[in-house]
Amino acid sequence: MISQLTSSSMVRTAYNPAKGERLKDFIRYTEVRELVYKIADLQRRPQDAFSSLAVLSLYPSEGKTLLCAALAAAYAETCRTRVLAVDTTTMRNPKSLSLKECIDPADPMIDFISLTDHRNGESEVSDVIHAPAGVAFESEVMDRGFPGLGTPPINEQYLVTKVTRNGAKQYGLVILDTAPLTARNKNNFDPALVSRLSDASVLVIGPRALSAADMPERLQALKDSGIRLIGAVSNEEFSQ
Amino acid sequence: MNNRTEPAGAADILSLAYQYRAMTLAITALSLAAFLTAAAVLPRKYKTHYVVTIYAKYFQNPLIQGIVTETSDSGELKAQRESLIRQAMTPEFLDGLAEKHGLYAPGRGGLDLPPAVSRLLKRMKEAGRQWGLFPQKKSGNDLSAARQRLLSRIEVFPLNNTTFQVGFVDPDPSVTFLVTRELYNQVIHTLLEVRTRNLVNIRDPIRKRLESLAFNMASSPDPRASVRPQLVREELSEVRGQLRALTTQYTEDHPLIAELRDRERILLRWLNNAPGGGIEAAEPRNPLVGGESPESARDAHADLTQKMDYLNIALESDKANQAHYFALLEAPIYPVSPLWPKTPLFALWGLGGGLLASLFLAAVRNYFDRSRIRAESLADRLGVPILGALPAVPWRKALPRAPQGAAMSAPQLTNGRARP
Repeated sequence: MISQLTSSSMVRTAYNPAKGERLKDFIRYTEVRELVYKIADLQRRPQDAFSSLAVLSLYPSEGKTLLCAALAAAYAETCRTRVLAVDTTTMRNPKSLSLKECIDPADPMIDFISLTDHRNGESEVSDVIHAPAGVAFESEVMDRGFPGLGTPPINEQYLVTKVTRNGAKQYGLVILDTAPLTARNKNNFDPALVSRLSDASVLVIGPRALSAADMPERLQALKDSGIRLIGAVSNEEFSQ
Repeated sequence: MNNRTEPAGAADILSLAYQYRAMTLAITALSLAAFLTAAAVLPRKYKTHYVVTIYAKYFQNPLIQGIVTETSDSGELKAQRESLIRQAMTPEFLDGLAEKHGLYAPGRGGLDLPPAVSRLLKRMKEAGRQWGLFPQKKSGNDLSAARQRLLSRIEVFPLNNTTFQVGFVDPDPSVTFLVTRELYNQVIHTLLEVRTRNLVNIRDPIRKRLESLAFNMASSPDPRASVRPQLVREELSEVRGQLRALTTQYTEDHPLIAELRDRERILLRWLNNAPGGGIEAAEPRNPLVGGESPESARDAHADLTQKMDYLNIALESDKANQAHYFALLEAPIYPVSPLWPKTPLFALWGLGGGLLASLFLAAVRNYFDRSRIRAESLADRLGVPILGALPAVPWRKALPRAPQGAAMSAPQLTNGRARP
């Protein structure tokens, strides 16, 4: 299974070596490793154990992708276990960081999937998605009882659930990069859905979230959404 | 910066400046540029001066100590010296100076404003006069105001009780130098003239007293009358002619008429005493001397003659010893650098002002930054802990390297795969 997973079915294009190297320096010479320790520590608790972690933010450019990339690389290095980085974003600001650019394809400890590319048929079908998730999969999906959904959007839900379920069996941690919770692009994978389908979520709080006028409403919506939030990561001192 | 209430120290200020270093550098650079531009644009002022000492002997003369009261109080002497220097700046002298160097021209010595701004200011002043904010303009005030402005550019201040510095300020260095030299010449001329005039003012009354005493002294006839009575008659005729002309306009109490009457009496006396000089005397009016004995008149005449001689000697010696009363300690020098504006000073002000302004703005910005909602409070509202913070790093340049041994090594690879 592992050898199948390490086949060329994983699509990794547009890797930027410079960004990759900078990311390695970022992990080695800053305090981001402390985050990994805390997440690993949370993961070890029997009552809070999780295999998949969605990284959320209220607004774009808050630092989600950076955290995903740094978390994936640091977790793999620290915990000596394989990590699956999943990109569920669609439209991106050209100046924003891309998860694809940061994940080194030569690193055997980190695998990368873009659900958008899979949905659009722009990449080969991944084994994580292709492998069967189990008989109870369909009933589990229905049992979650997503509010406001008549017929669940099978594609998104199917993809995300397959990734999180299958990935949990094969990887130490599945990290999902999501679109901003306030994004209006219909092509996006709904970040709230991704978060609900993940075992746990982390909220990145950047400068824009702190100065938003409608912050109370957003927070209330976050509380009411049924997302399992295990913590927040501060990105107040915005890296330039 | 942390939220705390204790006063900020130097370390806090430095960290604040570092935190907002881009803004600090930009504001300081802008401020420096603005001040340097002002130093280049502002009208320049040049100043030069001279230093002169007026010795105490200017106010003294051993020959006439008994005649003229001398001052010994240092404060009074200092005031007299300053008064003499300022006395030299007569309106006629100022007008002459202004005409020669164009010192009354508009903008001379003041702010050289653009014409549009000057017109606007003039209109505002006219409006102010109509509303009663400024006094009404009177004719003749312009020249007086111009003199006042010129006088304000001449600086006189004492360095000590005997030494004074006199300076002049002008936008043109050549004019500054020339005017200062002329000021020096005028001050010296005035000092000498005042001293001479004081002596002459004492001598003239003594001479008149001598002449009136001579009128009463029969033992001292006019030598001219005995040798040439015709000369005395001619002078008498001339005096009487002047009297006839003046009495048509003035009364006998007029000083000039009284003086001529005295002269007439003296001439008559001499003629009467001279051989063959008899002539009818005019009616004597207002005799100056009456009731004195000839002996006392002779004594007074001798004393006054001695004093008169001393005064004449003092006047003559003054002409030869003029340089002994004052000394020029510092001659005027052609100004090569302006008094204002000074470029290094402006640069310093620009730097200092920019730093202060930027620190102030940084503090304000930091205050508002600190008063924002923090991530911890948001996490509290959500009921979740803060797991950590993404470090702020400069992505455009190399990260600061950790000390050797502090970095964790990368996972070792075996056959291209990570060690399990």
